[in-house]
Amino acid sequence: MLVLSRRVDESVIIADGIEIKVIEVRGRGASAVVKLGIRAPADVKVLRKEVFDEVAAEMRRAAMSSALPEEEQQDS
Amino acid sequence: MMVETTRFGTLEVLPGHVLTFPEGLLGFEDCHRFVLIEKGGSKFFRWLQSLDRPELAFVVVDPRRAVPGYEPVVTRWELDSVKLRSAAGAVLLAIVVVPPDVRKMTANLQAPIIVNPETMEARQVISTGPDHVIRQPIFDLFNGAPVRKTG
Repeated sequence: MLVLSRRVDESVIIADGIEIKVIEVRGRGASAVVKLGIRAPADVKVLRKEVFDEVAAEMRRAAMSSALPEEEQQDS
Repeated sequence: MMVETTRFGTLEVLPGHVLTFPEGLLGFEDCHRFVLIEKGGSKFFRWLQSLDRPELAFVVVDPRRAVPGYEPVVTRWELDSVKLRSAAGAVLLAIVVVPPDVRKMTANLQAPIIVNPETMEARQVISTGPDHVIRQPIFDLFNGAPVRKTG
């Protein structure tokens, strides 16, 4: 992983027209919060990584769904 | 070709019926080939059976039929990845969770699958619509009624 140090108001540019800027840093240490500004073309989706983790967890729940309700009703 | 499945036994699958997911599904990135199975005579529900893992199958529903007005937020790039010209031309599938209490069954409107019905290429996308929730209750479908949107 590429690691860069940036100050407030400094940015990185990724490929065509995606800019990620440090807007604000609050707090210190592990509880510090970094506010980022992201400028990207309308066609680029910007998502928190947790969204992918939540969906993957929901997919594992779905994979454990054992039967359609109609089938259960027919069996009983 | 003949395919072994845990739920449905041995199935004959025509090559033209195989859905190809180049990126796999979220959480199941190693599973690239699936087939849709109609079982139980349901109007709304089908199974998405993996051809790579016999035990892996998902209940799926067409979210457009389940939730009137639903249309996922899909980018040009995502459409291009399955060679679709427009989102309107995509067949949609939403993954359903059926918990032990089936009244609490939900469909994942946040991460629908878009399918190009001509090439059978498919991709799971994250839709950023504000009411595209990960757990949309859909039990009303069993009364033949479309589902009211959350929120």
